[in-house]
Amino acid sequence: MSNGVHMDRRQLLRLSLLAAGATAAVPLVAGCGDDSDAATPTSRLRVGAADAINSTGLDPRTTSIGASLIVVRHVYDSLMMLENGEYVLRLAESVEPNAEATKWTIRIREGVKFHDGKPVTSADVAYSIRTLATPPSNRASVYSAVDLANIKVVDDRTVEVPLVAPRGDFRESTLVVFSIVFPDGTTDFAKAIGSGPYKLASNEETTVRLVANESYWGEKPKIAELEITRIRDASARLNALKAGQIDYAVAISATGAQTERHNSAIKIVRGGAANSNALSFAMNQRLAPFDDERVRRAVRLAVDRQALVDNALLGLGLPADDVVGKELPGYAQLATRSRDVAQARSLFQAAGVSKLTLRTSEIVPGMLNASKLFAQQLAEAGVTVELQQIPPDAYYTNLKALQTYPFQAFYYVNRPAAVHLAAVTHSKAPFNVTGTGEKYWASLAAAQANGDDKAREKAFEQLQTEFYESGGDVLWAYQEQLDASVPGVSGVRVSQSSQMFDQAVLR
Amino acid sequence: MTMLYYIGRRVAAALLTLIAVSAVLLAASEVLPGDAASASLGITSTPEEVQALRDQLGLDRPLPVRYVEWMGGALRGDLGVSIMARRPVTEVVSAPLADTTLLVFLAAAVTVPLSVLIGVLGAVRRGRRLDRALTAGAVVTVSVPQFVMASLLVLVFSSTLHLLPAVSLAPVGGGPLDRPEILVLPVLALAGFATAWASRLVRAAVIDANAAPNVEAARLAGLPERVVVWRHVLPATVGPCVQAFAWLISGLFGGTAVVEQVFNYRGLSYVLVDAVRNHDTAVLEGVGLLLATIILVAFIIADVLALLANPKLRTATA
Repeated sequence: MSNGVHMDRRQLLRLSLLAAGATAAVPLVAGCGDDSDAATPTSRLRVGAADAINSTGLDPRTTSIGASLIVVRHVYDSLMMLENGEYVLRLAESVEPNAEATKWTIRIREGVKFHDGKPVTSADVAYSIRTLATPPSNRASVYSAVDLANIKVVDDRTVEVPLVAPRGDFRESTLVVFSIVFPDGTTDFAKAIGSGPYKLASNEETTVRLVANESYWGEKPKIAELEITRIRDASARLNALKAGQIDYAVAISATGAQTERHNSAIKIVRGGAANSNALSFAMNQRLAPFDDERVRRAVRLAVDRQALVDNALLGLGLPADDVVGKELPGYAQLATRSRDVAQARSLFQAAGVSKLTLRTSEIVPGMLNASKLFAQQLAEAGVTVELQQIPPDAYYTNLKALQTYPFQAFYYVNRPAAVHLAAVTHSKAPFNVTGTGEKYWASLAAAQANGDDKAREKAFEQLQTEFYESGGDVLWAYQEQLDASVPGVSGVRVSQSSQMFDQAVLR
Repeated sequence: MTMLYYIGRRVAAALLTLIAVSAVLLAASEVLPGDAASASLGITSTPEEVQALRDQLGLDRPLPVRYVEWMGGALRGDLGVSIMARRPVTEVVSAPLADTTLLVFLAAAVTVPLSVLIGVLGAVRRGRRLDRALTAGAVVTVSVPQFVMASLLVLVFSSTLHLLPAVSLAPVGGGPLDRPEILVLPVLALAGFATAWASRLVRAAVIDANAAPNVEAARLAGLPERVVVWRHVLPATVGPCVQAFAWLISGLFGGTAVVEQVFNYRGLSYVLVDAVRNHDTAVLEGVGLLLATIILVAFIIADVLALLANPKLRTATA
């Protein structure tokens, strides 16, 4: 027996050494694999982007960010879009209201075809609006003004969309936000049949391949194939770009952008205010001490916006002036804010405020550092700010409670003022963190109802001015969308922080 | 007979451990802030929409009820349906499991022979210059956090030398083995730390074995050193080393959490991070149990091998 065990041991030892030696060679051999994709054909652009939750489904009802949104934006046409700071008609040829702005008539272009060859008709438009307006679509709130049951198909190219209340801003507040069109009856979005400039060729776990739609009605795509790879981590995207695995990295970190700014092999693409997050310290004007207008004014005077941008955002942003929408249509061109510590101090003293508590979290990179610096800036005006730090994952856990915090760090996607105010400050908005009240809601509803474009714009300018003068946002910066590419890429359009590669060129 | 009894006892203990693990996982996912409904709908959703989805997913039912239901399914091999992917968990995790196992297997294949070689060399040359150099190297490697190690590898081999890919992108329609070079850096990142750690254990085991009376007797009997090492020292180290390598497997699976993130390698940890982020309890439970099972099996195998290799341990269980 002992003899047998002795044999076993020796055999075991030899066997394990042998096996270990043999397998050790595997990675070495593996390392010698040839890279058949080494040469980059100019007819193909490789894009790296973060993946969104449940992204592999490419379901336009639930897609809101990342690689899947890029795919959706290229595969489907939108009725309207925001391009180069203007609202433009895309699939729609005209979008016109009746006299009371209670019913809108959408007429679509003639001769547009889906990727499967079927013509795009008004029935498809009606179906798409109904689908996007109904859960599980996460854009139901965008279409909350539409009277879904009474949408009427007039003829092949015309559809009437009645609203539950007059809305003169239907185009910009609804269609521009998200209005893609898919075939009537679509329930399975995996095939992604649209009428956009690119067609879906394949959708794998990591990579989506799109090929140019040769019969596209608009300007034909310049690059034959788009390869969109899901890379979750921002530094991994930058690494992939530096290693030549991709040509364009969507969203890199400010640190990454600063580190690579002298690297001639990489081009940093800054989004400007038009493609940014608007960062705020939101004061709820319904709650003490911010129900006192002097306190809100004092906080706005005490903050040094440029210092916050330079330090917390590493300079990759622009100072903001308390109102969302800069560099976008309808912005009221408000005066640049400047700091006045002495006046802030006397206002705080007059209001009897010497201590504030700010609820904050790293909800976007740099927010926590900004909060700390902000606290120092307010200390100079005689107010102690205590920071109540919350883990980012827990920050929005209780949506109903958001309106009960007097003072909190917050961010909005920078959108046209009319869109932002309509989405965030109305009576039922869960994100009404500045505590707008009945009087304001009445003016907002009146502005929205106004069917005259010029008059409506004026009314929204008035709302912005009110926000600027006495509102609850200390909107201190626009944090720019930062992308990076190889130097040969040009012609990429970024619209509302979503990239369009249909007119991109790769030299 | 005693051997079978011993193995049976270990398997029973492992099953109890798995049940405990599943309970802890579910409890832990409950403690996380937010829930699957709010994670799934995103921050643009209204409280009413979140509540509707909560009802639909049955998230408001008591925890024990959901646990018993899930356990019943798990016993039948049904791990439930992923809330995010809306597909069966088994389907969601099968390909990533294979990819992670491949990564760990390759890392172990590098680590085991290397750590045996370094450990034995260090022990045989104990206190000499080579041993001191190897020790210093191991201490430095173990002290470097794994994500730093991974980033350094990317910096050197991808960004600077352009020899290897920075992120592990499998070719369209294929897996990691269709483009093997994407495995090299993740494997090195995993194996670096593991080799440094395991070689220290091998070295200690060899030194212990070297001091045993039978080895001294063999030397006194005038056997050549080579024979002493091969026939008496190394066999005695198999037991402790096999145990160490079982820990190694567990450590390597743990290490994939960092490495898969840095290299964008679509393995089990990648899925696990998503599941935690999205409160996808079914996937969290599924992946957690899979990992726990693999590690427990590794330990049972190690125990059995150690038993086979060491008569003293074997008789102790009798």
